[in-house]
Amino acid sequence: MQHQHQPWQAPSEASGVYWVLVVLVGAGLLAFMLWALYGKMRPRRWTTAGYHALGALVIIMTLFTLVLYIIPANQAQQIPPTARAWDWKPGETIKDPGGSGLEGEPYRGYLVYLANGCTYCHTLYLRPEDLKTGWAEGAKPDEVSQMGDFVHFPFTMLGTQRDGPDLSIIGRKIPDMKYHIDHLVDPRKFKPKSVMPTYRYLSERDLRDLAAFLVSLGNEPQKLRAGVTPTPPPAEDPRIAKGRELYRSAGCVACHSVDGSPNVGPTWKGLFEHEVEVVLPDGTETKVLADEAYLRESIEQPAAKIVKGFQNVMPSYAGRFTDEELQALIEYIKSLR
Amino acid sequence: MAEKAIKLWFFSSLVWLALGPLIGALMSLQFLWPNALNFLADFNFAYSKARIFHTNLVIYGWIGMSFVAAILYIIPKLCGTELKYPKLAYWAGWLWNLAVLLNLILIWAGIVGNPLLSIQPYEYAEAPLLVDILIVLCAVAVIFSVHSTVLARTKPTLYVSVWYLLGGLYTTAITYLVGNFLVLAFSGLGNQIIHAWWLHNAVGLFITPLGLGIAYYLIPIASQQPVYSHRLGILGFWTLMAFYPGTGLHHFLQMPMPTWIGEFAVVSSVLLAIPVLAVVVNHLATPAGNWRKIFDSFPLRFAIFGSVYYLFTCIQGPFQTTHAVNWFVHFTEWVQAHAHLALTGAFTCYGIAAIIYIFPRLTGRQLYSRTLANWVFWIMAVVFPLFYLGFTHSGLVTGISINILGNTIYETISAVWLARLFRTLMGAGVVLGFLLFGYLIVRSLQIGPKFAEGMNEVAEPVLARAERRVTA
Repeated sequence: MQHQHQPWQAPSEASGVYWVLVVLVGAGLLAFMLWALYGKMRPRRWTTAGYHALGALVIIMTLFTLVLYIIPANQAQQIPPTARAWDWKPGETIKDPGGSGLEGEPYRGYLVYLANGCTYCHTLYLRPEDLKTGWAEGAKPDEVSQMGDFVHFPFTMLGTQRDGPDLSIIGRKIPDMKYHIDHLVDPRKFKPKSVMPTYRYLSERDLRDLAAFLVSLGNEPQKLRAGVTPTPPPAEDPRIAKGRELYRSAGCVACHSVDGSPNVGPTWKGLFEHEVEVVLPDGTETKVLADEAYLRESIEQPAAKIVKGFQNVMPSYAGRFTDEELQALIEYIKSLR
Repeated sequence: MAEKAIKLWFFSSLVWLALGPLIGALMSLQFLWPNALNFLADFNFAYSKARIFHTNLVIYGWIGMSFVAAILYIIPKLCGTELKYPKLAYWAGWLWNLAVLLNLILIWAGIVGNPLLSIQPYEYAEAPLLVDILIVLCAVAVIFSVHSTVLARTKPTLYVSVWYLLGGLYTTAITYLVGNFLVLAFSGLGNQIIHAWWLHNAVGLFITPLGLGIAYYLIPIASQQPVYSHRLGILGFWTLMAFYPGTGLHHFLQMPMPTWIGEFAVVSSVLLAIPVLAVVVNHLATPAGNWRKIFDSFPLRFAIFGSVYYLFTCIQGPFQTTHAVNWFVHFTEWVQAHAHLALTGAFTCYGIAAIIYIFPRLTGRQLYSRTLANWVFWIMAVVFPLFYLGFTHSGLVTGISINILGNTIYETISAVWLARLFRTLMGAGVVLGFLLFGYLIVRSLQIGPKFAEGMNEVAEPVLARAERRVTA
């Protein structure tokens, strides 16, 4: 659990005013309850002035508690931002790190996210508890949300419901705008079991901005501005380019990263010709060399050898690719050293 | 004019009651056959927008309007005077309807980045700023009219209901202003903390005091018994006002924020058991000398059931806010089920009770069919709990699958499919109940027998009884 606490986060470090108020209110309520239960009632003394006083008390009580919320809200606004804090200004655009050449405005994308109610199924924060559960697939322990992560958001939509996965690091896991747009238009093309509605009614600009916003989540703004993935060398094998295209269009990008970062499935970076610890269907653990035959088998029969530490959630792609396409994909994996 | 105002609020609420839950049932299909709802995209619409429709219609359309109708009826009765400024209340009713409708249109339009017309990012306060301003105008008009009535009263003392209804109107105003306006002054995490204050107080300081005030009026009058205990009334009211406002942050317990304010929210939430028990004991002990009335009086039946559901909700509430439970049920449908137990169970029952009680006294006609009223009642008493259980079951399975077994959400979807199917079916049953209720009211306008004070709100099956007497 790498959850970092701000010094004043602990109850014992709340401000002195807070504790004085709490003690006063607590004692007052206790006295009131004792009076209400055992005190003498003199109904005739309930004059109009008394009612006005009580009415004012209702309002004061409500406002008092409100002040208790305003104090930490103010404190939370003064927290220094973390390096990875989301920080995009209106009008600022990013280029698709997936290499499709698309551009979008993350800030406006956040407003599209709001206008279409995405927050009712997706949260934008990871709890420390989530790391031990299935909520945070592919999350690293230091990616648990901290207060400083939210400083630059004009407003926050942390979310109260998860009918879909948390999105706070989606951009780090899938840094590909084209994929996000395709997924928004037809979610079940990539995730057959998904219950997400289609957002094909969004305008092209809305989709682009929303995808840019998704890509901006979980990536350090500075790095994203500089470009997270290096541009491909100009003279590369055309099969590699085709493989890169398939990586996105067939949805591999949803689970496998190409820059070494964790996700639902193992990363492809440095995979080829390295030893992989795998678990066979009968439960025995062994090591295999990731050669072409292994890659081919893993695509067509994912269940045959499962990489240690991962669950087998990958569908079989046997028959989905032509031989040529399969070879292109393997060439692409080979190129990711 | 006063009657006209009450009628307007009253019948508008029925329209929204028919629509809000229906949208809820429809959108639950998204979880069963997601492709079947793809056609919604042709109307620039999706599940996520339907959800805003659903919550806003139920809260502002149905609960808000039916409660205001009941307030406009109850307060003058308890104060022994006529409603003051009825014209104001009447036009506020139209404006409120307009605001709800405009809200729907703007949510559907989904305008991006307009400060006045865009959806706001606060749950249950999604209404764009323009709609917020309209709603504030209505609220000011209603509060002015009601408070003037209380000031013009002929009886010196105020009955418990008046505390709740008048106090509730003021806390509603404060809460609404915080959730829709004050929150705009904060950014980043501070924004979320103020949002949290609004989030639970929309229920706690708006719906709860108004609903309980109505129940405090209906239960004694329908059972023809005095309120069980004045002391419990005082205790329940003041502890509610003291503990409720602080609870909001339990919605974001595990978010990165100062722990002490979370602890404060949890302690507040657990302390809520005090007002809840005080109120529910008072409600359930009031008809004690005359329980027979419950077979006879539909308002009493619905109000008592409302209080029972309120008890269940509020025992569940403190339980699930504690850290040990919250991390497990948070983000799952358990919480939505809890919200339905409060709004569909407790407060809709209060609303229905109020409508059945007020309708004959307003229109001079009884409800025409006991059979139909019974159907509505048994749907709320049997089908609704099943709906709630299906909802909770789905949440628990999700919690076990993801939190304990470590499955991802995609693997969990098939595990909860059956529970969600059950939820949809039972939910459709509840919606059917509401539609029947709407039909019952509208039909009674036309063929309901004449009503005079002292008669039952729902017509006795006179013919059948006479026949039985003859055969005996």
